[in-house]
Amino acid sequence: MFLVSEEFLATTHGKLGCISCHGGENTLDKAAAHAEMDPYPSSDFDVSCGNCHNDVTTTFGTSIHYTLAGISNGLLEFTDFTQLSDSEHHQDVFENDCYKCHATCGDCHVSRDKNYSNGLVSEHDFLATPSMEENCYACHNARNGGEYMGTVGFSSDVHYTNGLTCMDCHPTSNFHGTGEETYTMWDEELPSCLDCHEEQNPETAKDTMHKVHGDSLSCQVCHAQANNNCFECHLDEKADGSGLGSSSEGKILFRVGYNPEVSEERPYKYVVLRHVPSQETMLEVVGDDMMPNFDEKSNWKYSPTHNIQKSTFQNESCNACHDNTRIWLSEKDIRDTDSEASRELIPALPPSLDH
Amino acid sequence: MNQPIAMRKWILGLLAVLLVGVTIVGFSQLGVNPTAGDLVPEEPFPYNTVDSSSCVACHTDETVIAASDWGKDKPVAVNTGG
Repeated sequence: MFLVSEEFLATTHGKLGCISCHGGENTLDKAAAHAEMDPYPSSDFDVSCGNCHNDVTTTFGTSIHYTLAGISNGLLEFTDFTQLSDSEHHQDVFENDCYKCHATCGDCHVSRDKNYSNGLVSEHDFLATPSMEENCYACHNARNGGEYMGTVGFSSDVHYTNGLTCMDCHPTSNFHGTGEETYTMWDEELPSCLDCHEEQNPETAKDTMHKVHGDSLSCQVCHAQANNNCFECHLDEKADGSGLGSSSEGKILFRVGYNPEVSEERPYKYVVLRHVPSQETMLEVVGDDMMPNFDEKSNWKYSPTHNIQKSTFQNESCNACHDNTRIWLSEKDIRDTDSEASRELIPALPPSLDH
Repeated sequence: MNQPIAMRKWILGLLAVLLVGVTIVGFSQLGVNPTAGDLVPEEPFPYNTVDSSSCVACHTDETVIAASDWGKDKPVAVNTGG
């Protein structure tokens, strides 16, 4: 795991010398050599990486991979504060638990994230393009990454089996930021299926299905498979005292409901939903009444499910979708631990073919 | 009769041009060309370097790596919930 290859020493980064980035002392005494050594120099990326790569580091501080703004703002919306720092408890939860998931330069280009599997990807080589299997998947394995690669749920995504990686669809700005902070990932410049499948644009499509449904259904409604949903999340102190750990009940489901995030880019009426790990008492280990606005936010979210197939059970025929009451979010799917706002996504469906 | 003589001169001229061309290319391949290959001075390494020979002594040594058990029990990925 500590191996640095001889070949690496001849590269630009290798020529800099370990101490240039990691600190420490050039001595054969092990304790003295490591006393001031920083194993994760890109935690302070402005100083380490920024010396040469300031075209990236000047924007990286605004990247959602670094800020985790989607998570902090999601937590904030359950409260009645205007910012997380208004509450010591909430700030602690975010910084000591949620924020462990943020990425630095090294977490993608050199090693796997230190909070998960850790370890160098390839003998300290700097990968200009990170490895989907070793880097992206190390963090995004439970939902979109795992579904894309077929380790969660059913078949892998057809784009995966045809050799596409995350970086083939997601622009660099999704990782390096743009210099402007975004509120959630939905404010990012995200890939669209139409970037490649232009011929399926509902305004110009020649086939009936895309003409009729293209502007009211997200692509995933017809082309995604079931996704991984988490229910009744609960946080507890870890046994080793290293912070909070969470546990929840996972279920592979396929549910379609009203679009909770209608926007110019995603104007669809119906989208695939995913239940996210949340319940009103999930933070009770930290304090009382931590989520006073819980009932105002849905626990079911818009899901850009990443396990696309051309043919799915729901697009097999008209009736496979229109008469299939099992795929539409219903009152039966709302648990006692869910918020009232979740009910607002239950569609007045199934849309019968009779009308 | 004049036409074959003119043709011969033209062919000889062409051969002469080819000979000069091949000679130039051959010399440049042998490194005679002063702008080619090893005679170009290397650009100095443009970044500050710090002598890290002590680090390298251990961190490139396979036996040291093999003796370490750090991370050996870690899978590529655990269920992150992400």
